[in-house]
Amino acid sequence: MGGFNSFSEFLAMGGYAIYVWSAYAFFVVILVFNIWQPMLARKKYFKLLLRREQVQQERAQAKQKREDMTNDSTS
Amino acid sequence: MWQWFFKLSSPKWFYTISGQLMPWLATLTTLLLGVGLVWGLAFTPPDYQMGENYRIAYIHVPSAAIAMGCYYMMACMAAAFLIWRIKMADMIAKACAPVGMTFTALALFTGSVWGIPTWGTWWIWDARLTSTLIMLFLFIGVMALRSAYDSEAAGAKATAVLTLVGVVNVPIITYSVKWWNTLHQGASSLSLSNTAANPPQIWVPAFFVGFGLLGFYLIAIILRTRNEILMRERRTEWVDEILSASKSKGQGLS
Amino acid sequence: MSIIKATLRRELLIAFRSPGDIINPLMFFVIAVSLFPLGVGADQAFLSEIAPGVVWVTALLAVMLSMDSLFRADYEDGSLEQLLLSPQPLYFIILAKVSSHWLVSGLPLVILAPVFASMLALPEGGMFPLVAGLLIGTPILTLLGAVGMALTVGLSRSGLLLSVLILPLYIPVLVFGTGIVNSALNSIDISGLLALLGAMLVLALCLAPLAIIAALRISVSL
Repeated sequence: MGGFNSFSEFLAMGGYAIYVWSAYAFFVVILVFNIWQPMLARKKYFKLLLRREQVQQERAQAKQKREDMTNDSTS
Repeated sequence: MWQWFFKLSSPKWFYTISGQLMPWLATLTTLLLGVGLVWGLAFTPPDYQMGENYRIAYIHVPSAAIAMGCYYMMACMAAAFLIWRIKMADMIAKACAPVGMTFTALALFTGSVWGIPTWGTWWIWDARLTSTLIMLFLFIGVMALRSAYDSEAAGAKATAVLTLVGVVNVPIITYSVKWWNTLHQGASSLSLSNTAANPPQIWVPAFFVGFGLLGFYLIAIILRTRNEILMRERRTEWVDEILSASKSKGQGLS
Repeated sequence: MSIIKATLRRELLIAFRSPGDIINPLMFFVIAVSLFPLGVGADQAFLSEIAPGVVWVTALLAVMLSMDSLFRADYEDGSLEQLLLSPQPLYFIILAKVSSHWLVSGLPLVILAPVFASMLALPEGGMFPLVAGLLIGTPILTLLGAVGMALTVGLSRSGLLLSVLILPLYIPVLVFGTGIVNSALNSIDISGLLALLGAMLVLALCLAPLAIIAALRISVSL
């Protein structure tokens, strides 16, 4: 087995540190993006549905209130 | 076989099975990627020609292969959608485009970075680099067409037609670029996957990373497809149950 | 076969009644080609080196820009819908439509190309390969462009989208088209390359109309 003698040697990558580590950094960015983006989309979608439901409830309540008021005034 | 095939085409079945499969797939992927990357990055001897720089190949080669495979997968899904009108196939095809695009971008970036010390420049008009770049354009075109349509159904069909036109062209493009490359500068001898000269301890970790990345690719596709199912099948009872169940679980942000 | 003749006659008649659609791609070609010497300098040796590429790339862009007039008018006045519903063999009608479009947009480019190639100091020996390549290559460009146009005709903002969809597919034609000229200039036999381009044309003739029909059905149903 080859490998490196020390951690600093590992970080230095035999002088190729900037190339190797930037490639692996981009690799991590792509991995994170591909998990994070669909998760965020899912969250956003759930929030949207929740909001939609709330708006519907509010509308129904407001309608109910109006009807109550008109009923009060007529009686 | 056919029964299995049509089961797979049911969104509910896909959603349930993929949900059950996900923890196993995630564990396996993490293990494979973890072992492969640590092994490949730290415990393999340097290449006798390229020094430590060859370690980029551990992520470059599988990402390029998966990007190419992703286009073919997208084309198969497009064909299944156009021939059998399987909605599930279109949802997977839709998921393939952005995932394939990011994998193509990853292959291009790592290839370029690898090329700086090797070729002395980040970009050469090498046959493989050029055809990968064109692959990126094809993915972008597919995504652009889908987003240009307001109607989901029409966009799906149009994208499927474009994908199939594209897949007929992919071999022609690859061949023409190879021919063009030899005409202009002779075949490049700087091949990344020249495994013949390397000992097994260099290419065994590559298998770990390769299968790990394949697992990751499947996870990425499944995540997007599941989202798509929830959005398109919103009116069905079983999706409604899932949505209300997640809502009652505190804001539904699971 | 009479339907092909009838379609050809109709399309050509319409084209010649609005000559702008014929002249504009040509003007684009002429102006764009003349921009290159202004951009890169008038050095004859350098110009002759880039001439095949410049002529081919501008011809390719001119063909792509001309696509907009192919299905647009028919889509807007509803005759495209009638066409798709007609009992006639659609494959041949579409082929006739695309052919007539090539006759008024592609063929003039092929005829004009030698003039501009010699303005760019393309050597004598490259002239025949250039024209032969364009003659076989521009119909492929028109067929592929028609697929892209059929996919985007129903969309309001289709101009730039068309180029994103179609330009990557144009690459093999460009590669072989310029390759033929460069091979001839290096005294390499070009018959094999011309045959390859011809094979691509046959493939496009067989498959592109099918894709165009499928795409038009989607666009009409919007």
